Amino acid sequence: MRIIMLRSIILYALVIFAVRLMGKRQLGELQPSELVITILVSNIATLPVEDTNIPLLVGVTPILSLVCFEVILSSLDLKLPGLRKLVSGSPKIIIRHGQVDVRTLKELRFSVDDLMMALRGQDIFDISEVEFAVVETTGSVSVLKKPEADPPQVVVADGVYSAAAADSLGISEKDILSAAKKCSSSLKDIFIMTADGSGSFCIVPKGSGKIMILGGSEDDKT
Amino acid sequence: MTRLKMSIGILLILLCLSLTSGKWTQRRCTEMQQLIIQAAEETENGDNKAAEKTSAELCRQWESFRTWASLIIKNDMLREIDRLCARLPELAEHEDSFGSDLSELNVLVEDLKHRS
Repeated sequence: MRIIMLRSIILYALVIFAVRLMGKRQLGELQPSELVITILVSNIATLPVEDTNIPLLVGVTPILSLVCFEVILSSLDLKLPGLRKLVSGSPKIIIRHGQVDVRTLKELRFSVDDLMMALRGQDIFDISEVEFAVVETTGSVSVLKKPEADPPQVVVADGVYSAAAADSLGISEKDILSAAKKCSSSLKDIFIMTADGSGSFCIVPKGSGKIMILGGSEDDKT
Repeated sequence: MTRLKMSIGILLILLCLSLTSGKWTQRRCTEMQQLIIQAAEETENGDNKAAEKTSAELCRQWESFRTWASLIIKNDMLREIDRLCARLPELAEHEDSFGSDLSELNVLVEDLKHRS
């Protein structure tokens, strides 16, 4: 009993030392080779603890060897990109320019549920918000969101045209006039007109107060 | 960089340790096998006294080897040889199954030699 206790303490200290030797990388998300080493070390460490028939030195040797191999391999990874690709693989793009790459998804055996779960993990609930999504070598998904459209700005307030606001959105006065024409005869008849960078307008004519939306990809609607 | 140096150092130590222990075990096993052969020849020639002496020497060699061998070899293998070595001097006197025990010991030592 005392021997088992002593062995446990020695191997506990050894495994702590092994994890420290592998470094901070080991404590975060695991690369394939690191995962293999972690599983092997945890299995091998239990054998000499349980079985007093196995000399402690025999139990310690494979743990230290595996950890040292891992450290050397990860150092070589830095210098040899080919080896890194061979050992850890390479990141795969699963959404490119907003388009889901179904073939890569199948190749990675990534289901739609897996994809949506990974996106939700990044606080994204709408797949259309994603510009790029990459499955990293650790299996985690990195996401680049689509740039948000410029917030709408008031280009006509109480019949007065704001050239500064239109310029900041890159809209010409001609566009604003043509939008105004669609619902009112002139700018003076408009109470509020807002516009955004995509070229859609929201118009509230004087008098009626009815909100009209024009332009963008949508059909004009009221 | 420190980790890399430490790892290379540990690996080199382990490599040296395994090579040295392997060579040492093989050398000690070969010496024991020579004594086993000698004891077997002495028994065949009817020289029981000499066989007993050789068996005692064999046991002494085994005892000194066993102390260190227990650090690198599984205990169940050593226990088998322990059992045989303890019986040898007594068997050498009476000749009962001495030869078969010697050959069994030879097989075990040979196995130990190959596993090291």
